[in-house]
Amino acid sequence: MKGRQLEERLGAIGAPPPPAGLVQRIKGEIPKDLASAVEGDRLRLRRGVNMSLRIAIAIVTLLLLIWLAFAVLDIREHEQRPHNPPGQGKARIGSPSSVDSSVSIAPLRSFPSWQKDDRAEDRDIQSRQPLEVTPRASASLCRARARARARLLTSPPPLPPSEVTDGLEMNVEIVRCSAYGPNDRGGIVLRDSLECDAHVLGKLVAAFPAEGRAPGLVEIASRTGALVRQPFHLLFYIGCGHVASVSALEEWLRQRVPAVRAVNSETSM
Amino acid sequence: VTGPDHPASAIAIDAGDRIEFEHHLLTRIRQGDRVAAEDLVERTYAGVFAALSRLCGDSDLAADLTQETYRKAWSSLGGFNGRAQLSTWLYRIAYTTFLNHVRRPSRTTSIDDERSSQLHDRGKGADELLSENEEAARLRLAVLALPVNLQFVVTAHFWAGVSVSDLAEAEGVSGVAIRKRLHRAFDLIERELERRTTR
Repeated sequence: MKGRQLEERLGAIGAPPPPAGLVQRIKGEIPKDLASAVEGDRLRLRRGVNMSLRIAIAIVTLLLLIWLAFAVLDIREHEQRPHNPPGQGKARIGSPSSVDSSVSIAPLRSFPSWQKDDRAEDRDIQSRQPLEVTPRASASLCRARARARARLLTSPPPLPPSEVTDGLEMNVEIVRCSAYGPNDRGGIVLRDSLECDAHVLGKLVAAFPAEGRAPGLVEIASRTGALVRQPFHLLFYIGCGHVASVSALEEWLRQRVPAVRAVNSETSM
Repeated sequence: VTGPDHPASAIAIDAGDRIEFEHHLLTRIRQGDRVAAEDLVERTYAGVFAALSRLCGDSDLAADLTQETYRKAWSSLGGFNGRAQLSTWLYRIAYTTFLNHVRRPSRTTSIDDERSSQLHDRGKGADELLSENEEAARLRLAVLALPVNLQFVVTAHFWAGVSVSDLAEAEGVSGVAIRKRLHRAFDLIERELERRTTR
């Protein structure tokens, strides 16, 4: 009801008649060359659109050329990089002050039950998924890796003192190129020299004293999408226990991951 | 031309087949036919002036804005794609011209100035006219307090005589959406009128 009243009131608002001479003033302002005035605006609009399009195309072309240049540079750099034989990489193993790195390492004898299960699952993962460096790992590998990683990040039960042996335990995260994910540390920029080689972002898990964990898991981090300057992919090597030397680690990796050319690793204890 | 006393069809071109007529008129104008342009002016200027007069409440200002509206119309006629009706397109230009004028600080005319409202019906008594005039001014201020999208719909429909279907076509929405906007505008206008009454 109120709306109808309002409609009527709105419609009833009067307006004065147009002042005399208004129509003549308006007609007097009609452009002399009406066609060109009308078309001129259209032409100006068309010119503006064309110019904007040209600028946009030029910017896109420039970006494309820069991207191509970087890609070509990357490929050449990758091809010219020498293939380092095992043992010649810039390997460095740090050891905790409490552990003497020169101590010979006893071979693994026994594993606690949780470690045995891990090894079995790791073997299962490796048997199911060929260790090829692919841009995107399969979903099953992702799930298995997530499970394995979650297990590694949870603290295992402490070993009984009788099972603790002398040795060098490492938790190594070997990263080729960069990794940016929720669990990775950022800060590696393009053109970083580290980016071209393997490097360590940080340790994944704390080392447990003489946990006796054998090399067992190589992870391919599928969440890292290949960026412009990222021809390689991310590898994790987690939970290496009782490794005699870096060369042994390299050899182990080389056997399983053909894409690893050089292992430049640092260890976190 | 329907006169300004009939706001329901203020700018509308009185033609049998309006679409064909508008198309024909536009084609002639684009070809540089001054007579066609003058024809368009004669058919529409009174409606444009009436709508602007209701918007700004000042006939001198409305006349200036009407002239400016047609100046803009000639220069932008090339970009008119004919999707909306010519009357709706003209009112859109007029409304934008009005908004630009109101928003321009140096040339702003106070819309609160109730003296700007004029008395039109000479046959009524002075008190009655004053009362009607005050009510119209309050209503106008309430309309001008609306958000721009609602304000455009209300003024185009009630003060410029643009039909709901034409508005829907011009705005690219359905007729139901336009009617919803109108209802929402009515609510806001009523609230504003109540606020002004109690103040």
